[in-house]
Amino acid sequence: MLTAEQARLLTDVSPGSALNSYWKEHWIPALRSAALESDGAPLRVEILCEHYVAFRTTDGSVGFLNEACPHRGISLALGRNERNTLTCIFHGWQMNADGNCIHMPTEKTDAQCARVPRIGYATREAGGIIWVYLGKGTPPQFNDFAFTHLPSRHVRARASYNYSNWLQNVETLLDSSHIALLHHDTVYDKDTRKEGMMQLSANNDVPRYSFEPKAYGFRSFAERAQPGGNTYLRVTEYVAPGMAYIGTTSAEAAFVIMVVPVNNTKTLGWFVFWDERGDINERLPAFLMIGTDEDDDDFVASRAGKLVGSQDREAMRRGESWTGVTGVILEDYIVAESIPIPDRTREFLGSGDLAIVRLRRELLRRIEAHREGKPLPENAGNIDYRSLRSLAEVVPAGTDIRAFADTKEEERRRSFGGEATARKPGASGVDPVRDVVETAAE
Amino acid sequence: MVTVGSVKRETDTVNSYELRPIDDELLPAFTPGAHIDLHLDNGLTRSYSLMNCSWERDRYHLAVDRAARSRGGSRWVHENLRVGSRLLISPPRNHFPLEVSASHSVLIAGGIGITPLLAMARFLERHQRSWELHYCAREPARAAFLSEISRPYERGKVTMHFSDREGLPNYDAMVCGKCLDTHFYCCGPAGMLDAFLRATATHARQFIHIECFTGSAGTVDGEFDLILAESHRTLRVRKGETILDRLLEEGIHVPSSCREGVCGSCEVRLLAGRADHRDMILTEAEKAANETIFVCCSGSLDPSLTLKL
Repeated sequence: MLTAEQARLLTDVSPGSALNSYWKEHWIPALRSAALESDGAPLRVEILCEHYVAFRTTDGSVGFLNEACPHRGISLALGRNERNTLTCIFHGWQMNADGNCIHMPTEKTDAQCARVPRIGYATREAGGIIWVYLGKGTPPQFNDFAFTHLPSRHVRARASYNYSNWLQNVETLLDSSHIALLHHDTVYDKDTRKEGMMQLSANNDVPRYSFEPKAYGFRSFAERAQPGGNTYLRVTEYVAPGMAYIGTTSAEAAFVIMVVPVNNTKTLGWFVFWDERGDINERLPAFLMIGTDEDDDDFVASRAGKLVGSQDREAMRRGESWTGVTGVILEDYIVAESIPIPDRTREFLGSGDLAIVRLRRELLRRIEAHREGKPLPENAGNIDYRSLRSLAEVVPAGTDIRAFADTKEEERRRSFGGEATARKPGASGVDPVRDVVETAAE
Repeated sequence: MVTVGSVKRETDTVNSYELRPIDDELLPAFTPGAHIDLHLDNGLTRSYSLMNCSWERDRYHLAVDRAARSRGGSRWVHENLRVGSRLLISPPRNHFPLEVSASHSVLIAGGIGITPLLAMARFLERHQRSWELHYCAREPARAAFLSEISRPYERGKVTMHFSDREGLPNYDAMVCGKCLDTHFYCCGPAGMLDAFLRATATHARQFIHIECFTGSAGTVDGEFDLILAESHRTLRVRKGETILDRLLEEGIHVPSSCREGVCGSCEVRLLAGRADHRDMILTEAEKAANETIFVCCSGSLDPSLTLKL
């Protein structure tokens, strides 16, 4: 249960809020690289209650600009995208990919162009995603996640929008307790392939939680005793502010979920899958694809905002479905959308909610530190993000789980030892995802 | 479950008891400063520090001072625990651990507070660490284990202080002039702990360790003072009530929900004193930092806590 002030700090991303400012200190995954084509129509993108346009120039650079033309504020989404510039159709003002005004046909000379404030932001493409930096000053070091190095065939980034506040989306990532309940149908389904061993959460709704603070966020452990004496250990890695590694355990293949606030009642949820060994599309975890549309730019487009009220009550009555909703993603989204911003000043949390209590404390701490002008620990340059993975394993009872997680991480780190050579794209001529296209900040 | 192997009368008011395992099992290992809980037949649970060498696995040796104002625990033990009695105990816990890496350790004992410090002295001596012990009692007849403590040690030095003869001990003299990495430990009555804390007020907190023997070690429910820094009030938290209970009784509103230390609603900033943290939220480092406390479930290891309320 939070105070009203704490709840506001964690949910309100309005311009000027502490959370808005804190979020802008991070590289934000905004849209898919494939959503933009050179000289194609600019796309409108809303992030943190503010409106932008994204476009790809003739030579392939990405521009991410304020939607409002710096002249008189009409939408640059209407602009002409040609010859490496975005031209506003109103008065013909031209912007380059950096968001600098380079031509004003309505003035005698372009002498004033240099005075027009720049409206563009630093961008970077990696892992099939266009990342943007919306904060002040020099962007922080771009975090080197495992999937940001891989050729495009090995990575599949999928985006979705739901109509709820970002916080409950992040809370769900850490809430191990709901797995066998909300996702009852998946966990208890005999036919589902054993993905991430979710089935081992069955009949075990009360995991034992523990946490290890980390510079990037924290490592969350959930232990469930298994019949026969072993322990099913799930380790979730939380990276502040909105990212988690959950439920897989392999070093070579994994997925990550990233949550980005669009505004106070809309959230952008990313699911990024990768497999270093081969084509990711042959190995997507089925349980995370069920119920989703084909469209990777919004894979719940056909459902979002319409989930509440769509439960199949007949299927529930017949005992065929616990939630009346198909697939774990739609189950997560329907509960999120049911109350866009739940009232966290009136909660009754129990021991099953320790991860969420921990998450909120961690976020409050980081937001407060940011307000005090301190550097963000998650942006420290020396964090090894590349070796981060979740774990989902059966271990003998009494295993030292922290040492176990550390050992696994160290094994992964050592396997990257020859990283410069080990990551060459395949000989079949697949082009690597555009990796270092960073338009200059100041 | 253990059985009483021997009972020895150490002074007029102090008996020592040796507890042995029932079968040939080894007792759980412990570290110097640890205590166990005895579950007495009268329904009470009382904690007692383990005095013996911490590497002994075949016995637990503890001492019980029959307090003049016993609330039933020490009196029951004196009247009922005999050789051969069986007793249910908890495994050892340690809220008063020894920092073994310290260059020097100063141990200050008052009365029956000698018990955990004796275990520490034995450990330090065995591991050839530098240590000194100040044992304070009214008079020699009331100083349990005096003869054992008075024997010469290689690395340690023992000084006795008898207040009937010399007046109150000079704690300043005991703690000043030590090397930088010295750790200080004090166990004894509340008045002695207060004096010790005053004498060490300028030392960094991580070097100061106390254990309070008021009833049970780690008084989760009651028997300590609550200083409210912003309201300028002091409340006494009574036996059997939590800090939250006391605050609500006084009309001081603190949000609360689960009452079991998991939801975090009742968090209050801690300004002074060491809490006995019973929540499930704080990490070990956060507990040791003692900057915050969950008042629905946590108590105090010190005679008083100062809250930002």
